Amino acid sequence: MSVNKTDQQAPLPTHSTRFFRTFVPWQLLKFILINLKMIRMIRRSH
Amino acid sequence: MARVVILGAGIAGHTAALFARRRLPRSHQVIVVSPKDIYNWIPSNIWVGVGAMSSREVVVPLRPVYAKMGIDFVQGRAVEIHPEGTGAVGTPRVVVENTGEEATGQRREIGYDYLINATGPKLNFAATPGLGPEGFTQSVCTYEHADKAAGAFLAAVEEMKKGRTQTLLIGTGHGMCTCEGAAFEFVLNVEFELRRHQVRDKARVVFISNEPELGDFGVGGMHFKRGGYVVSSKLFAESLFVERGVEWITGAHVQKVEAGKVFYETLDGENHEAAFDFAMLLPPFTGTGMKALDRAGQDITADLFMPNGFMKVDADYSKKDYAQWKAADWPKTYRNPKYANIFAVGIAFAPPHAITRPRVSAKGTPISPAPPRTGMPSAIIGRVVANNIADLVLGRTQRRPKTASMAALGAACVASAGANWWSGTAASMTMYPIVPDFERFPEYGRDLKFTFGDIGSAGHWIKKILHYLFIYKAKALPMWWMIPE
Ligand SMILES: Cc1cc2nc3c(=O)[nH]c(=O)nc-3n(C[C@H](O)[C@H](O)[C@H](O)COP(=O)(O)OP(=O)(O)OC[C@H]3O[C@@H](n4cnc5c(N)ncnc54)[C@H](O)[C@@H]3O)c2cc1C
Repeated sequence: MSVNKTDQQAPLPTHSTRFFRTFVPWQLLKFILINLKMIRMIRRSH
Repeated sequence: MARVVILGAGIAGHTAALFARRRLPRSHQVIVVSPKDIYNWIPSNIWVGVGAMSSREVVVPLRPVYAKMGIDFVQGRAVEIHPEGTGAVGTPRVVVENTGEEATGQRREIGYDYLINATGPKLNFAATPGLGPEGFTQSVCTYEHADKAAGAFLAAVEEMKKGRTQTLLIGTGHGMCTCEGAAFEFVLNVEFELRRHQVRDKARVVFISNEPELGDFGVGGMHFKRGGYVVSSKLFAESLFVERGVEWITGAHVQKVEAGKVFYETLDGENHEAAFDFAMLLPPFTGTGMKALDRAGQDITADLFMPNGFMKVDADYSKKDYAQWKAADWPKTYRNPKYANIFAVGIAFAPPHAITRPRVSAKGTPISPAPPRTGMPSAIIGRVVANNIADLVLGRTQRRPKTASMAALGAACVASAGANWWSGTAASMTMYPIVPDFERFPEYGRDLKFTFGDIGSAGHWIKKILHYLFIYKAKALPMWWMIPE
């Protein structure tokens, strides 16, 4: 099968980006920010 | 007394039923007709399909909910709509085929003053020979399918534990599929579970999709601001796949499936084959195939439905080129143009056209995502239509009907990549509006303030919390109506 394996154009996360994705204090902050963003978007849709 | 009949107890129909009941005094009747007395929160089937959640956790028995709310429930499948009545009886009605344990197959007529068609899709596995749980591939479109998929997936994991390499093929099973986001989410969960089972090195994970490029999701892709740049969802999705070692095939129309092998054509017109040990390929959707008849018994299905079986509503269905597509083509009140007391919500309404630019292969085969009607817009549309009907029933005709065009609604898509509170992450994406509006947002068609993408545990927590909130809401527990769709 012809597949696209490793498209080198795709940006890959650095070690610290990957660390912060599951670093709980940072993700708690993100949790609040994403919720606020989603609430704003939902308000706009309702 | 008015009678509101709702066909289908899925995300759109169940939401519509709960809001209709909340708005209408008990002197008015709300009836739900659905083949099963069980509600399925379909988005969580993804987790069932990899064995990370049991199917019991994604369903809600409907009878106790409806008994508590004062909604009548008929277990059956609507097969005919008679918008002008039948013979001597000049009032509108639907014909329902019983699917309950008693009197299975028997037909009955149910009269209505207002009808909401929320019958969702027919899972059209037959469009691709060999596709689906009756053939050679798995599905996660229903909780039963997801259970079966989990069995097959865990069997493949066992093979890998014995040291055998397995190819897992996940994606869309036809060139005209929709719901690519679900396949995308499933492949990320499969990859996560393979790592959790410590067999990732034994697996080749391949995503196959009818999208022209990764990250299209049937909405023509999207753009968001990240790290001081405006990036496309293509880069975002490719990055996720490269990082996880997931290979991909885009612009693919699966022609047929045999045991362990798919045959597909790509946009360049070339034919290919791919071998697999486990495959989860979504089917294309059509309408559920209800017929419509006039009072004399003449077939008027074409007045109510488009040829693909989805119901005509207040959209602009005139044939237009992609360059002429407008946000204004999309329906606002979901009312049938010929019969003003018939509405269609969720996947059951016929979209005016795709969102992604249509493409055909070099051989002329259409390979292009059909427009998604995901959970959030389906439920919002269900609520708005139910509230508008309540206004009509209550004689509040001076109020302008509320609108819910997909060109003015946003959508949140949280594609979980692993069902674990601490190590699981999710790609959270929101877009506004769903249908790009280049008149309002000339550059990208969407408002970048409300369109964003992010990856992390926070997204997974949101997805998990949403699961519990939506199950709570489906059970109509106290203050259910405060939970947004
Ligand atoms: C695997 C998967 C994952 C998904 N994940 C997400 C996600 O993360 N986020 C998101 O927003 N969306 C998601 N979606 C999309 C979402 O599930 C749909 O948008 C939503 O279910 C559409 O709601 P609906 O009510 O129109 O259709 P459905 O939920 O399919 O409901 C249709 C109902 O009608 C009933 N019915 C069928 N025929 C008849 C008939 N003849 N008479 C009466 N009743 C009938 C059916 O039994 C069913 O109860 C996902 C979809 C899939 C398949």
